[in-house]
Amino acid sequence: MSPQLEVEGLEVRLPGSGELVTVVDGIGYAVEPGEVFGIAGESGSGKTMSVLALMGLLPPGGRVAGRALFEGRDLLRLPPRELRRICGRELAMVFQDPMTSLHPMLSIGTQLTEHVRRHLGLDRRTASARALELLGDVRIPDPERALHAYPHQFSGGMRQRIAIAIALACRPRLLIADEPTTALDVTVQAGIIRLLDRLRREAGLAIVLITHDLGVLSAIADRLAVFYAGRIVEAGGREEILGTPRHPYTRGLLDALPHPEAPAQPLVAIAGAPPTPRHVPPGCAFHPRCPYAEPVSREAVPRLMPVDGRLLACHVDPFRPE
Amino acid sequence: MSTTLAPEGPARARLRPRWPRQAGGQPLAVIGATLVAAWLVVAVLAPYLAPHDPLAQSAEAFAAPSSEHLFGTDELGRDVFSRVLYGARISLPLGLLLVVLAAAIGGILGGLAGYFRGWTDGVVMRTTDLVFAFPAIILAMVVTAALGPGLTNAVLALVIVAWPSYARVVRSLVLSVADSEYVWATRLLGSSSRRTLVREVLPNVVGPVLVLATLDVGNAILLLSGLSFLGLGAQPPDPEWGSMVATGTQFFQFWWIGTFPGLAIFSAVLAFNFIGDSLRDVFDPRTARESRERM
Amino acid sequence: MSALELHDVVVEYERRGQEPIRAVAGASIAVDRGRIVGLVGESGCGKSTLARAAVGMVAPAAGAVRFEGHTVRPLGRGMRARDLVRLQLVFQNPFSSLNPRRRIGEQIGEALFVLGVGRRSERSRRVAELLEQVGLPAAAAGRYPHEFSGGQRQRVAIARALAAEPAVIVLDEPLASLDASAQAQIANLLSTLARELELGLLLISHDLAIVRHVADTVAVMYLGRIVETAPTSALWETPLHPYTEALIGAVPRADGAGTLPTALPGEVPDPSRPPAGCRFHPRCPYALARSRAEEPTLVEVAPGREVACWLHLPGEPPAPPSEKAARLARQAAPG
Repeated sequence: MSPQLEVEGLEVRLPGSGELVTVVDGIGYAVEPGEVFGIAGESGSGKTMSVLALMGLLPPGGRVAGRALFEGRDLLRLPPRELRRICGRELAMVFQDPMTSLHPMLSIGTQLTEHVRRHLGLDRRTASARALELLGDVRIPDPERALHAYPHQFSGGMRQRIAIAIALACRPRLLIADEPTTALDVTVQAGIIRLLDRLRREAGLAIVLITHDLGVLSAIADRLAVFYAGRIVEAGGREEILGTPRHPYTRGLLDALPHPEAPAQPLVAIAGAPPTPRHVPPGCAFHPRCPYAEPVSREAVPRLMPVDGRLLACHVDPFRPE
Repeated sequence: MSTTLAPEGPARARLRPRWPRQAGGQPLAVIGATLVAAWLVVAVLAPYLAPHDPLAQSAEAFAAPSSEHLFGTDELGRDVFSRVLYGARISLPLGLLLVVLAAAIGGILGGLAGYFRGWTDGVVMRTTDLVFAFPAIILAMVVTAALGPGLTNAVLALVIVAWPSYARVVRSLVLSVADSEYVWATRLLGSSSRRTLVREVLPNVVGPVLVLATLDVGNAILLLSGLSFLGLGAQPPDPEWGSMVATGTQFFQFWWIGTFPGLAIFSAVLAFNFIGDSLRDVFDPRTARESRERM
Repeated sequence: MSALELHDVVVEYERRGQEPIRAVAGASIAVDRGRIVGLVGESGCGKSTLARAAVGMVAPAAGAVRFEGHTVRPLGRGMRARDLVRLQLVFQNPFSSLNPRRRIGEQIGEALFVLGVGRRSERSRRVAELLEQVGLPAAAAGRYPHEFSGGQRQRVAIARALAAEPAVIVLDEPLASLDASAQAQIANLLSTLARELELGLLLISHDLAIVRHVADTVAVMYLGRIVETAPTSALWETPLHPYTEALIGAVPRADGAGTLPTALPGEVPDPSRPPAGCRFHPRCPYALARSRAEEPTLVEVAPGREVACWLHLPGEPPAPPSEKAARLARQAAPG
């Protein structure tokens, strides 16, 4: 089966104080239909910009290079009108902050139906019925009343469900979710994770799930890629990457994660902080913080190579099994 | 979610106002500053720059501008050019004094009202309401009339009229700053009210007040001239620009009598406005604006 | 007597024309020097309000807050009482808790000034010491907050609190605005400081995993009340309150196994209209008839373990909610 989304050599440069700064430096991945593909990284890693580039939502002055094939069509080269048609209909996005991603002055019903009517040309009655169906799919209690209510009357978790409902209104084949649960409490987050899992099983929906929270990816992603300073450092299946990480950064991230059931020892923190796009170290971007760095790490940017059933970008590969 | 900012390494300290350099990049500010500087020089050196005694009357009344009298003479034969130069010694310092007094009084009262709230706040606010109930020029006229005409009383009257605006602005600034977390933190550390006000609140209030005050100097000069125009401020034979314009309106055919003092007012007010605008731009980017790197 | 004690504290917020909202509806906590108490709960549970009441930023409507034996009087517009200066607070947002227009050295040194360290050289020396203690270079004292990252700013905020030579520091979600690396670093710093300086820390967080690593004791808060307290390891091995159990089950594990976290049905109710009886009963899988009618109070069921739940009665050995519920069902069934 051909991939739902295939990204190759994606580069994104943004204007900053007079010059262009590279925030995404040549990344590539493929998302199969119906799978959940996770993008893991901290702030400054380029993870959000890489998907904003796909949807044509970069800030003014941003430059993009590379290819992003969505069902065979290159999103980066489509005329704006074509791209707008695809976005919202075949490709949809959910953002982090449910407070700002819903229009505060329109009722939920209006936001749902307007979307559906614009893209699918449904009449009002059919659109309303579809809106009710969607609210039921995302398990909003009392959908009838919810249609006439406004966003501020809902909690953060409910708003995020509504945002997901709007995103899925036209039955897209790919959903991009950028930190969808970061702003939510942990029990609410659990509900959203389960919702996304159920929806993708029922609808065969592919999801690109971006988050800094490796636990969330561990729960729901099939494959994932770890971003650092605009590049992918490790990618592969969830079990391989999270169960037996090979890249020192991935290891470091997992070790720094507190885990409610782990014995109480000091957290192993990675020294320093992720670099800002303007100050990416030469060679391997992680080398200044890496306990295993060698002289070669400073010389050349490591290439993402297939190694033992995963992709790894590391000159040293310190955890290679002997 | 989280934001990562400046790297561990050295970063430019952007909080010190880049005033000279930045303002240098803006033509309007340069023009304004140059004009004000020029007028200040004139004000100081008027006795040396003026070709004639501003009060000296002569037989050559209503003389048109010539090489002898650059701006002509007025109805009493006095040299308009010299009078305009000497006028700077009245309008500029008094305009500045007016603003400084109003800002100081208004600032202190407004600051106390905003910080301590309660009874103080009530009294100060009701007083400002009272003053705001009257149009500025009317109130100034009333006070000057009550105290008697003259420049000192005119300045006093205008200070009374002007301080409430500053009180209002400072009060609202202080209200918002006083509730900020860093002020709470200082108070939790046991800092006295006075120290908190001076160390934490004041630096955040000074910027906007400075901008307001600079823009207000032009206004002050205008009001002062207005009062003098009405005969309530400067009294004859003081060479104040406003009263000179008043005389000029009586002798329209001798256009130089009123026009040149009018141009002087215009240029001074404009100059201060230019400076105030560029000051505002300098102070605005100061407020912490972290670049949210949502990557 | 603990360094910081809260007894049945109630905090209300006024609303125009309506009943006041009880953000905290009777909570008790004790913090000893050298120990870290974690207070966990989700949005709307009142933990931030409790933090503010604990240091005197808001006045309790009922109950008492005592620090080193003195009553914590709320901070009005005047100066804070001298005997309370050793009770400090670190705020959640490291961007808004530092004055953007003052150098950080000055801000850290503020407490020193209050404590009467008059000479500037003496203050600079102490500020340099404090910066080192929190892992920042002494040269940082001359810089402004915007020159630092979130994690570094939070260290500055901690240094500022340390300058007051506190006995207890309350930290309101100190790690929430930080990314993973910074979180781990600051969490370790807090543990070290508590140990080395004999500091009592009240660490408020929604992140159970961090609290697990750092705290000695944990209190769980729901809708304005504390529902369970226990030593950390005991809490995680055997949570007694159904809400604690749900909270722990909802945290996803980063082990690659693909297990979905367990979700809790329903939503946190509006604090102005809490459910009758046990506040958690509408969402509780084990709710009893009694839970709908009467609100349980915190009772000690084992040394150091308290829980407010009708499943757990004093005198019986502690056991997980499912076991207790099953036993009660057996007792209720005839024969």
